[in-house]
Amino acid sequence: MTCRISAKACGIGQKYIEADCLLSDQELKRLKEHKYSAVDNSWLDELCMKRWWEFVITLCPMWIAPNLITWIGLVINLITVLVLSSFSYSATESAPSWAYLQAALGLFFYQTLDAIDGKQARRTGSSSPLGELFDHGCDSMTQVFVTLNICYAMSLGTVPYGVLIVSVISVVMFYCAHWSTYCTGQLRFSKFDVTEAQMSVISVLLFTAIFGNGVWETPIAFGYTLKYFVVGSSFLVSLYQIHGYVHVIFSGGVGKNGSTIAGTSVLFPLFPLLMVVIPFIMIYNKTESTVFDDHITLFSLCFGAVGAKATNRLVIAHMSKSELRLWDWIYVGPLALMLNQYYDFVFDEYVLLWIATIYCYTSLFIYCTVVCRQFCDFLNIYIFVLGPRKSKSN
Amino acid sequence: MVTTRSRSKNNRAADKDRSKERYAYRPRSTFEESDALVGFKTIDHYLQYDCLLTREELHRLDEHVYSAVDTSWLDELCMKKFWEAVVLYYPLWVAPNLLTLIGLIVNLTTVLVLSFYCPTATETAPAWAYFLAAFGLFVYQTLDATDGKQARRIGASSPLGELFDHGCDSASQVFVTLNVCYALQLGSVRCGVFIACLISVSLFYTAHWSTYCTGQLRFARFDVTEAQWSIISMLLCTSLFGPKLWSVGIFGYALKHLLLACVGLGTIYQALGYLSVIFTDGVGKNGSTVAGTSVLFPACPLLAVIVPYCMIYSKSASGVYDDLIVIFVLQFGAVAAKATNRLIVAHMSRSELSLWDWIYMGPIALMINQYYDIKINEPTLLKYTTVYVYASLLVYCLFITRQICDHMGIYCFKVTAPRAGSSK
Repeated sequence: MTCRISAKACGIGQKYIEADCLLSDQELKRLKEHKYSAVDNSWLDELCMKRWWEFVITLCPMWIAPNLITWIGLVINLITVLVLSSFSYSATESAPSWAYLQAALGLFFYQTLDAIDGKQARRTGSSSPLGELFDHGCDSMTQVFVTLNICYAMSLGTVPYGVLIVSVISVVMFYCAHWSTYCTGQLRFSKFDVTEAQMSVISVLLFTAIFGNGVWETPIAFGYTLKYFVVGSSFLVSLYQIHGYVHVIFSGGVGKNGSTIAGTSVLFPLFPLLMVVIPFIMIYNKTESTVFDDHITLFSLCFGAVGAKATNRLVIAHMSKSELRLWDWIYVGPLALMLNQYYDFVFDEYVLLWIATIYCYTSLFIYCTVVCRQFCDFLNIYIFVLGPRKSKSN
Repeated sequence: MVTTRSRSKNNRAADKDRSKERYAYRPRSTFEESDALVGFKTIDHYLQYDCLLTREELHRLDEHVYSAVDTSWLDELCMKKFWEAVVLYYPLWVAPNLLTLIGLIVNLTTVLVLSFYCPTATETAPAWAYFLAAFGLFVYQTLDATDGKQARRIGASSPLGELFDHGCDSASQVFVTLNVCYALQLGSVRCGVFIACLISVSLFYTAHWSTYCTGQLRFARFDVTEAQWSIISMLLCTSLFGPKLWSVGIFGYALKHLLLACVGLGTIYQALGYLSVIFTDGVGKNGSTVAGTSVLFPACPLLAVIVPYCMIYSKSASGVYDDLIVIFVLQFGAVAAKATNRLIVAHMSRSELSLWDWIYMGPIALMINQYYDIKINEPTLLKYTTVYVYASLLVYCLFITRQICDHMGIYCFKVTAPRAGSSK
């Protein structure tokens, strides 16, 4: 009986993985044929960062795999955010100066490692579509970490909807960038883009470390504080950026009749994005207690995980030239929270938030693991080790 | 409904070779130009996603051959002889799809008459209304059974005919169930009407789900015909003795409760049979469906139809959905009909199902309204969403039928030579 139940459970798990995670053979072939294509007009990159990165790359040993570099950057970023969140859990408290400083350093390290992994790949002759996929995957996960850094530094938890709005804008921006890539086949960086944004965040963190996070409460004009001024400016820049992406999406489609590189509608990627954003806004809006304000970090992490998986699917659809699917089993997390509210809070919201967050990260982790493993099997390589596999043949 | 003739040995070997090719997994491919599109970009995208088939799917639909096993008891006993006699009276110029559509309209009309007298399924209608419904169901059954014979008689058999037939069946499911609810006055039983519709829809969907897995439509000894005759008998009894008949007490229970219990048991038995077929008889690779997809996935669209309506019905604090039970179950029937139609199309074109359908915006709107504590008046929203879901169903049926007719170079309701200027 136990064996039968176990076999049944394995069967269900296998079916879940097939439905949710696996690529078809055709998609794998197209993924293998993918070539990285990007246009980089970034101002800071041209000014000084490329020289810095080219200098750093010479310090890296030749035996380090590029994906390992990306992974280490992600882990550093995660650790520094966790340290800061332990002091500033609801984004309203002050943290010690050194916590902000180490978060700034962590973000700088992450940025550097994220930038040099591609150079290391070319240096060691191990460039592959998996590297780009892994890079974008790690980027999608760190979105929420970088955003939380900002929220902690500025104590945005004191502003109604502050953390949620910043998180939503961050996820939307990142998703739209890859959405435009899905349409044009080319990743585009403008003059003020990822690097500039990251340096801005680092500056904010350093500023907070030096002057304390009370500095953001300084009145500027018309009764608004410095915090609102900075957030408002960021919002305007984001709108400008999103407008640029939308323009590219509508006019730059390289497929038939202006469709995407997969030949699908340029509008369809909007719906997974709405499926990520709308439930969380509804959940936050509907709640009658302050549980989501008190635990805004947990709520943001849950939102970040769902956003990351949607973005990952978009990246894979772009690289494998395949169509997107609307449904994803990770949506069960936010749907469970909505259901609980629909039925007038049958379960304790805090406990359910924990369960949903754990479920979402488990789903995201399984997805990333299975996709990477499948692709490594197909390309006959390892993720974190250089050189082809020895036992197999293509 | 025909019995499959046994195949010769030579054909059997060829069939085996084709089987391996037939049941490989076939993901949806990209769309090509189609004159079914109307020219506006947004509308075209909606139609492509929601209503149209891809070129490969159309080709596989071309290759579809009707396959059924019919061991129905009443069919063998007398109905086939009756239907074969009836078909002789049809003029040769009548298109089979026209017969199917007329049957559906007759069924719809008779249900609407009863609905007029029994809006909450608790009232008593005149005797002639029940008789009219019984007669309408009989006419529908006859037309539904003879359309295939007419098609073969005039040499106009095509996959479109089967698709149209099943499509009308799915739309009429809720009408037939409402007939039963009116006769038994199930509105006075808590959740009675909704549960009856739920069972009816699930059973119909599961039958086609097993067809999607095996490639063959199977009728048991007690099946559609017997069920329809049971309903006709029930309506006639109600017509003669009045609906109070079903409230007569036997062993402390009303007759209607005993009937419901018997139907429940029969349904469970039938459903278990279908599920057994689904789990063991998949003809694709590794026991998968005719499209090479998982045999379990069709459960998801079914749940996507059923679960929202169960939630809406159970969540409602007022009695609005009991007072407007007819509109509520009509809306439920439309959403279920579209899900079933998608399953049928997936079976005939050997393609995978998609989980999302824009018709779900109807129940989702009702749920969101409840989620935000009834900001919009519920009866009003129920009516608007019912109009929306029927519009969605109608658009889907119209466009897919038109696309298939264009592709095959035929007309839907005419028996003529193939359309001039068209090519496959």
